[in-house]
Order: sequence, then structure tokens, then C-alpha cells
Amino acid sequence: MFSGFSISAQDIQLDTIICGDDSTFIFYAPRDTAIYKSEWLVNMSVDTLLQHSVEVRNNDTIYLISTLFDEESMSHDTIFDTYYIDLRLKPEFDFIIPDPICNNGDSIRLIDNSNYFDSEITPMFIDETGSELPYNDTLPLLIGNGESISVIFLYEDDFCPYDLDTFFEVSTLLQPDPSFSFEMTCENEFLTIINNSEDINDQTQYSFEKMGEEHMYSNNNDISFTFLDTLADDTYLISAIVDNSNSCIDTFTHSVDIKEVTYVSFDIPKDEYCANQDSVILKADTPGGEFSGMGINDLGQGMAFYLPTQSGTNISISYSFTNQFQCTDIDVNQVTVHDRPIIQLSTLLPEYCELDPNDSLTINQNIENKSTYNITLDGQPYDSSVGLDYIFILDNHGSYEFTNLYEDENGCRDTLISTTIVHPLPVLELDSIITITPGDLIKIGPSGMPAIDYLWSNGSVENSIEVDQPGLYSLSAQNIFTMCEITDTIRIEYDDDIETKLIEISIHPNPTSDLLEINLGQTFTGIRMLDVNGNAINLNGLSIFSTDINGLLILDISNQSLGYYYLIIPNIGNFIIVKI
Amino acid sequence: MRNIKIIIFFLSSICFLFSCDLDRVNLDEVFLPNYSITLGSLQVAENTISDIIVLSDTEYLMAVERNSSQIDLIKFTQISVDDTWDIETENLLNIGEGSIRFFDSIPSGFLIGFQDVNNEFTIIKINSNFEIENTASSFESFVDTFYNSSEGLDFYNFSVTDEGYHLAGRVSSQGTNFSCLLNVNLELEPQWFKTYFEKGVIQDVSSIGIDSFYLVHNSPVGADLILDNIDGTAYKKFDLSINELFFGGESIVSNDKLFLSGIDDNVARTIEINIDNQSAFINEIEIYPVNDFRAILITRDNILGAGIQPENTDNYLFTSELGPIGSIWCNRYIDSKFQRIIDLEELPERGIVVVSTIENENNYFINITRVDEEGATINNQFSENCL
Repeated sequence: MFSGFSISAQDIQLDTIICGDDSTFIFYAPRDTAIYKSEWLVNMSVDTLLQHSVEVRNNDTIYLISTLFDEESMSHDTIFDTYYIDLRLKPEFDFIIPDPICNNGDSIRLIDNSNYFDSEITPMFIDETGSELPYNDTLPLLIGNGESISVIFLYEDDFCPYDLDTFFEVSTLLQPDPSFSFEMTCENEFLTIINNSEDINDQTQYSFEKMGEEHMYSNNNDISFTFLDTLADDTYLISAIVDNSNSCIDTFTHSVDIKEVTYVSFDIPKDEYCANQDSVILKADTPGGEFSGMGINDLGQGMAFYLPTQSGTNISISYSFTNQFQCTDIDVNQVTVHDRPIIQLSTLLPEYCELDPNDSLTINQNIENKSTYNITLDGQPYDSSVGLDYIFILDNHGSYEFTNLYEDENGCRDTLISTTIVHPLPVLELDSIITITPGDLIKIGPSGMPAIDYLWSNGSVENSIEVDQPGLYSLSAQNIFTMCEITDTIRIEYDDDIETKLIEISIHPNPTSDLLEINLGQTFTGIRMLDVNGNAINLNGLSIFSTDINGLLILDISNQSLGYYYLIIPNIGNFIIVKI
Repeated sequence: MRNIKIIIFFLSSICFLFSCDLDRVNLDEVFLPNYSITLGSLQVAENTISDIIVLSDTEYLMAVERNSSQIDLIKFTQISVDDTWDIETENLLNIGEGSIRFFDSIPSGFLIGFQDVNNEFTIIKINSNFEIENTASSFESFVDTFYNSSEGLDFYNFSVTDEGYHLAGRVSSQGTNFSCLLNVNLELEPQWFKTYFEKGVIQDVSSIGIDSFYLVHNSPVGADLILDNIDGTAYKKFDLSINELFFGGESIVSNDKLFLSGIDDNVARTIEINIDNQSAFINEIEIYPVNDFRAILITRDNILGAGIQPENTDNYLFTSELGPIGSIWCNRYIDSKFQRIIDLEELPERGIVVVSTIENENNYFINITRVDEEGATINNQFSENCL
């Protein structure tokens, strides 16, 4: 079938491009066969059998001889056409893309096995930058470790629709590059391997082998690996396998020396101490090291002075020794340090006045029998007691010094020395009582003393006042320097004996059922009893009675009727007696 | 004054006043009031103290401490409607709040003393128009400087002098009490102050002469009568009893005699003291037992007493005129629970008026009882002869 053709002009050679599917092609004469008689010459051989078409191959040159017969002139006109056949077949593309392999530094080869059917078109590979890559059936590619590249293949045909524009990914697998370094390790230390490996990925696993023991690590966040057991002083061969888990593996081997350690120790006498109170000399078994810790003063030669100053529990005191291999051993002891009690003596004032109210002193602690008071007065022992409290009796003036000692439950102690002064009171003595006769005016009060202010309860500020009225008069005397004040009271009273007795009578019991005792204090006669009607009462034949010489009269009215009676005592009175 | 009745009008003047008719009124012909009326609308403090002042035959005046502590000056008017007696009250003056200690007439009006709500003793002089003329309080500051520091003053009675008033009572000083006397002038300004005995109280005072006075002094060891003057030169003390015969006192001065009244072992008694010969005579009344007792000297020169007589659960009010031995007459009201005698007063020839308090379910009310001078002459179911 025709996919296109060209007809050359008369006597003109023409290139004829034909896009085909096969190696031959039927080429038809382009002239009207009804007018022209055509003959084909193929590759210089005439095929007389062909009139209208001819089978051609690529690179064939064909000639078409067309003859026109003119009947009027009876002449022949011949046209000679030449065709150069360019028969193009569609290429068969075929590329061999290499599988990814662990990178070993060699180039990767991409192979082009395509059949282009002798096409004159040149295909090409270009990189991602557009640069053409040298290419001859095989395209060598140098790819980084674990990297990939893209190459573009171009086949361009301007006449036939055989273009191909595609790309290929070519990559290598990441090949690990193991590298480890080893810190100097003492036999009391864990061996630590520092990972310097390169070209590793997130799935890289490390396998270390030491004396037949295998240690696996997979955490790639770690920059070092530590063997969690110590190794004795010796030389060890450490083998490592680094596996990137992508079939790329590499190994590493190293020899490690474990250093010898000089072991030291020291003893501490007690486990518990009191801050700022207890001290001790510490001595290590091997000199040359250094003590450290709170309260430690290293003295050298493996000795230290320990004086704890701060409280706490599990406080570490250590002795560190480093030998010639720079291997260090540390011996650590832990102690508890207690705070010392801080005594505060409450309510003790810096000054008192003699005879002030007793002051109840107390310290801010809680163990009764671990607290003592020792008191001196003017430098001489004055009093002592055991207990938290002390009653300070201000009977004596002078300078007092209180020494408080206290030891708490941890044996921690504190001592507090406090001083106070008890000022003497002004001298003031008033008579307790003075009996006066009404109308008397008396002067009361002491002689005036220097530096003493006086104040009476009536407002007077004199040292003495004149009074004439009963009462309780108080006088306060205050030392103007110490402000110590004393108050005394004097009772002024009238003489109670200045009196006249108007009545002295006692009648009891009243009411009475039988005996009535009348006591008048002196002899009385003419005493009578009357009933309510005024009739005299006769008792044992008597209706007029007298007291004895002491003024006593006893009447027995048990036989009288119940009711009221008058007891008539001349010049004394009329008394109602109730008989019950 | 409540406890001391000074009869400033001696018998001569009384005789003069009534010289128009010295004969006894014929009770059969004269309509004399006899009643016992409790003023249910006048609720008073349980221990209210006062004196009744007779303004006329039908009008009385009294300062009353209400149960709210409000003190009012009240006029009581006796009326008769259809032969039935009644009492009308009129509040004349609002005096203040506190607890009355004394109230009585003075020549120019009336004088009242009370502890106010701030425990300050206050005296108020009221004129005859029932208006406050002077008020004085805060006597402590005067006592502090004149005498000695004081923490409180209390006065229970007063007497009148030409230049002022003696207030009798007790001062708290230096943590104890002393019986005392405070003199104030007519403007109620303090002038001088005297003390007597510790733990004592001057219950009553009666002025005599220019500057002398009698004092009824009670203390835990007994009762005394003290005669004194401003400078103490007249001082005399009379021991009335070593057995505390007198509890409270009602003194009456007449010429050279001093009458006291009181209760001893539920027996009401009066004591007549002769100042000149320094003797005393006791007269007891036959009503027994007696809870409270007040007495006055009446124009017939007899003692008239009124008291409370307990009988089972009731308290009777009795009124009695005492003769040389026993009562001349005695009248008793038994219709109410009488609690205390506040005061009694004589209306010569017109009878006796007695003011008392009535207890009713722990509330206290004023009762005014009027009897004639011969006792209850109108028989009713509540009044009886108690002889």
C-alpha cells in the first residue's frame, strides 16, 4: 500500500522516501496509463511485464519510461523518470538495563540492542543536563555509592512516525565503609567503640565479636557502642560486621588493649554526722589519690579532714586514685549529715525590773531531758535546771547569763548564751494601814529620792500627800532611767472603835416552839409578854421577867398557844414572837 | 428620796395646814377612795425604784423605769366613773435610759438619779413645769482628783441642803468599795466628797442643821448610824446592831428623833432613835412573815407601814398604822402577786397611797393602792382586815 510517493519531474531524478512495514514496497506509476505507455527499469533491468507498478526495495533506483503516441503526427514522446527509493522500516528498540549492585567504584553499562534497519538516523543518550553521552551500543555510566541517575534516549525521524523519547533509571546499592575507633579503656571501665563508619543507612546493623561473644547493635542514632561488661587487663581482637541490610556488607577488625587499674579504698568511722559539729581524719589505703566531697579538705598523702557543714542524706565522700595507665579507681562512702539544732530562747527580754511577773522561758526544741539551763547572776552560779522550760523568777536584781545546752535525737548539739539584766526597783515602802480619826489630816508617802518619778492614785506627782478620807491610796515610784516601777498601797481607814452601841439585843430562835433566848448584854427587868389582845402571858406563875446579871433571859413558851406574842422590853422595844 | 422621808414640814406646820379641820373625817359621810389598781399598760423593770409624790388628792407623780430601761416621768390621775375607781397616766417627760436609784421632790422641783446605760451616774433636776433644768454626770473625774482614782460611783439616796444636795452611796476605788457621800451644789456641780468604810454603802442620808447629816450605813458587819459634817468634826457612829438587824433602811427624821425601818428574819420592824439621849426603841409589827417593808411617819405622829406578806404562793399587800404596841388598824389586799413596795405616802385625812409592783408571769406592773386612814372600809372580796 502506498504511504506516500513522489513523482519526479520529467528527466529529473527524485529521492523517494517510503515508510513501510516490510522490506519491499509496491510502487505505482504516477502517470495516466490510459494516455501513456509505461515501462519500468529497475536497477537497470527492464521489467516489461510491469505497467502500472513495480516492487521496490530500499536503496533501489527505478526508472519509469512513459511513452505518448501522437496519432496526427504519428510520433512518439517519451518521458523518463528516475526514482531513488528510501524505504524506511520502524526500528525495533531493545535496551538492557543493569540491575542495581553494591557499589564497587566501576561504571555501570547500559546496552542498546535495538534494530534500526539500516536507518540513517542516529539515536542518542543525554543526561539530565541535556548533554549528549558518548554511546556506541553500550552506554557506560559512573554512578555514586547508593545513588541513581536518569538517562534519556532520543530517536527522531522527521518523515516517518518512528520517534522514541524515553528515560532509564540506573542505580547502585549503598556499600558500607566501616570505620571504628576505640577509646583507651581501663579494666574497670566499659569498652566504648566510636562509630566512624560511612555509607550506612537507617537499617545498618553492627555486629561485634569479641572472644567468641557477639554484640549486636542496630541503633544508628548511637555514635558509639558500649560493651556492658568490663574486660580484664589484656589485649582483645574485636571484629565488626557492618550490614546495610541491602545485601551490601563490609567487615572491620581491630585489636584493643584493656589497661590495668590500681584499686583503692578508705574507711569512714561513722555513717551519720552533725553539721558544723563533728570532724574526722580520713585515710586511704593507697596514697597519691584525692579525697572529694562536701566538707572534705584534702590533705594529700591519701589523707583528708572531714568537717560537714551542710545537712543531707546519702552524701558522697570519695577517694580517687589514677595510676600510670591513667586508669582511675574511686572509693565512695555515703554519710548522712544532720543539721544542728538552733536554740532560740523565747520571751527572754534584754531588761527586766525586779519583781516583774515571772517570765516563762522556753526553747524551741522538744526533748525535755536533753535541755539544760545554767544561769549565773553577777557571775556567780545562780540556778540550773533540766527541761525545755524555765520559770524566770525576778526576785533578785543583777546581771544574768543564761546558758542553754541542747542535744537532739541525732546527737547534734547547740549552745546558746543569753544575757539579761534585772534592774532594781526604786525603794518604796508605805505603811499598809493607818487608822485615823475623822477630821484628821495626815501626810503619807516616802521621802523624795533622786531620779524617781512619783504618781499617786489621786493624780499627785509629789512624793507625799495629805489625806483625810478613808481609802486605798496607791503610789507608784518609777526610776526615770530604767523605767522600773514599784507600786505600794496604803489603806487609810476610820477608827471603827469610835462608836456608840445603841442596840444590843439578841432574840432567838424566832419563830420558836418552846424556848426563847433573849440576850440583852446587861441586866434588864420589867420584861413582859402579851398576846395579840394585849393580855399578859404568865409563865410559871410569872408575868414580869428579868434577865440574869449577864443580860440573859430564857423563856419557855412551849405551853402557849400557837400565834403571835409581843415581847415588851422597857426602853428597848416591842418584839414580835411567833410561836409555832 | 426613797428610803428616807424627811418630813420637812414639821407637825406644827402640818397642823397649820390642816387646822381648818383637825377632827377625824367622818368616814360614813365622806366618800374616800379605796382601791387597788394594777396598771397593766405600764410594764416596769423588776427592781424599779422611785418615790410617789402627791400632787393633789387625785394626782400623783412618779418617775418610772420601764422594762425597756426607759425612764419616764409619769402623772397618775385617779378617776371615778360610775363608782368605779380607775387610774389614768400621762407621760410628762422622757428622762433617758438607765436604772433609777432615787427620785423625789426638792424645793424647786424634782431630782432623779440613775445609772445610765453607760454605767455613768447621772442626776437630773426637773423644775415644777416638768422640764429638765440641770443634768450632771461624769462625777468620777471630780472624785479622781478630789479624792482618789475611782472606777465607779453609785448613789442610792440624797438629801437637800440650803446650798445643794448630799448624794449617799458607794465608790469603787482601787479595786474595792467604800461608802461615800458626794456633795453637789444647786447646779449639780460636785463640791466635796467623803468616804467612810470599806465594803460599806451609805443607804440613806438626812441633812440636819447647816452642814451636818445623818447617814444610814450598811456593811457586812452590821448597820450603823453616822452623824457627820463636812470636816468630820461632828463625826459620831452609832452601832445599830451587831447582827445585821437592818436590811435596807427607811429613815425618817423628825426633830430629835430618827426613825428607821427594816426587816429582820421576816419580821418588819421600826426603830426610833433618840438623838439626844442616844437611845433606841424597837417596835415590831404583828404581820408575819414580811418580805418587804416601808414606813413613814404620819401626821398623827404614828408610824404607817406597808409591806409584802407571803402566803403560800401568793404575796399580799398590807398597810398598817402602828400604835404603842401592835397595829391600830391593818388592811390587806390579797388579789394580786405583790412583789415590792416602791413607796407610800399619806394624804392627811384622805387616806394612804401605796405604790407597789405586781408580778405576772415574770412581767412587772405598777400597782396603786389607796386606803383610808382606818383601813379598808369598803368591803370587797379582795380586801380584808388583817388584825
